[in-house]
Amino acid sequence: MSAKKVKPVKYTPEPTSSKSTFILGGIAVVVIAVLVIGGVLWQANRSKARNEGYGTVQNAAVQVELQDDGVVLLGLPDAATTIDLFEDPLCPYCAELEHKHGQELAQAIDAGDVAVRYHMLAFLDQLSASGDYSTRAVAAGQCVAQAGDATAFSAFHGALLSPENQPAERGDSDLTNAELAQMARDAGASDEAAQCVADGARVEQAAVDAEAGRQALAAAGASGTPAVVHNGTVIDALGNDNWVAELG
Amino acid sequence: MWIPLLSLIARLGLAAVWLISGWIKFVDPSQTVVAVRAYQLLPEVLVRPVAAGLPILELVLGLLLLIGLAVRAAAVVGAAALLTLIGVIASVWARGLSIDCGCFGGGGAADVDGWDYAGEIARDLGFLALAAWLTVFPRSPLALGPGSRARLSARTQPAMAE
Repeated sequence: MSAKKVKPVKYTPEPTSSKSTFILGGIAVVVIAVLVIGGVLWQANRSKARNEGYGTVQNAAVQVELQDDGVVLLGLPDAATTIDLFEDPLCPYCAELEHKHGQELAQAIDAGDVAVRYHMLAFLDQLSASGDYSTRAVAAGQCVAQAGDATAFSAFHGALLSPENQPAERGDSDLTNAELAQMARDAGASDEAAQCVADGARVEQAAVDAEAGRQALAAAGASGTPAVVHNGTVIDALGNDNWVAELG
Repeated sequence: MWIPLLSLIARLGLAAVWLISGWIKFVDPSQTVVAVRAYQLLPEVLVRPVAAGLPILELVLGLLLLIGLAVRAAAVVGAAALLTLIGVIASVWARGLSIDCGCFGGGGAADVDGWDYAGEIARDLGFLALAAWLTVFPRSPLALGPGSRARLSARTQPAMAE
């Protein structure tokens, strides 16, 4: 008979949303959507491999030469300019540089716009599972370069730094000389060059050369790998998307 | 009275976390790729998409929380992301890898030990607590979204369980 006691409701309804609320909310949603789409596109464009699809060096006129201190010069004899590229085969940022600019650089080499002096270093040896992976990979690169086949060297260099092949720093395993030799064969290196890799024939020399390269890197004023030096200036190769085109 | 204030602090705090960590990753895509790859969890084909998507997700969550739009949804998604990241760091620790988590930039192999991982997980648990609070009490002052707004002067607040 007595009316059911109505429970006091603590909930205070929000004032009914006004038109301005929805307009503001709508504008915010649109702004965020635009930022997201723009960000995704910009990001995709920035991290995309430049000149995707070109591959490694293919111009048969390009020459490769193993120079003093294990420096490998790759380019047409009359290339317009020369850069010095410092890399450790185990360095993940070097793999990123190769991914982003490797094909662009290969085309510039084929076109004679640039020649590259590869300084392969081995300061990351102690982070490899075998303790000397970097040195052995540098030695393998020298074996391939020594044979004088520029396209094979370019392909081998690209394979060394591809994420599929590159061992992880502090990883459980890396590549044996036999595996490096197979990679060299796959890159088109001669049997002689592959044998040189498998035997580790240049490992001792590579250790000396890598140390010389490390000192050259320090002398150039770069703080680590990868480093690109052009006309005595260190180029921001991972920050400036257009560095290859701007070599001039 | 104090719940919306705490929600405001949690909202802006978590917004700052997402915006800072997202921005640092966003402006250095190469570093983010190296950081993601170092976890050795994803197949190579997924490394780049995740490295590109994660900073965007973090930035969107940060922006939503900053302006106070869809706060509960942003808190729930953020909590899920944090749980994933905690699991991923625990997995790295369990597998005995030695990497920089790349949480706020950095990444790749690094000289770290269990204390570093424990610290990172503890920090993420703190962020997770903020997200959990916002999931339960999403309303705070200075918010744009209709369902996310609370007025400082309100006498009573919508309580979850009453």
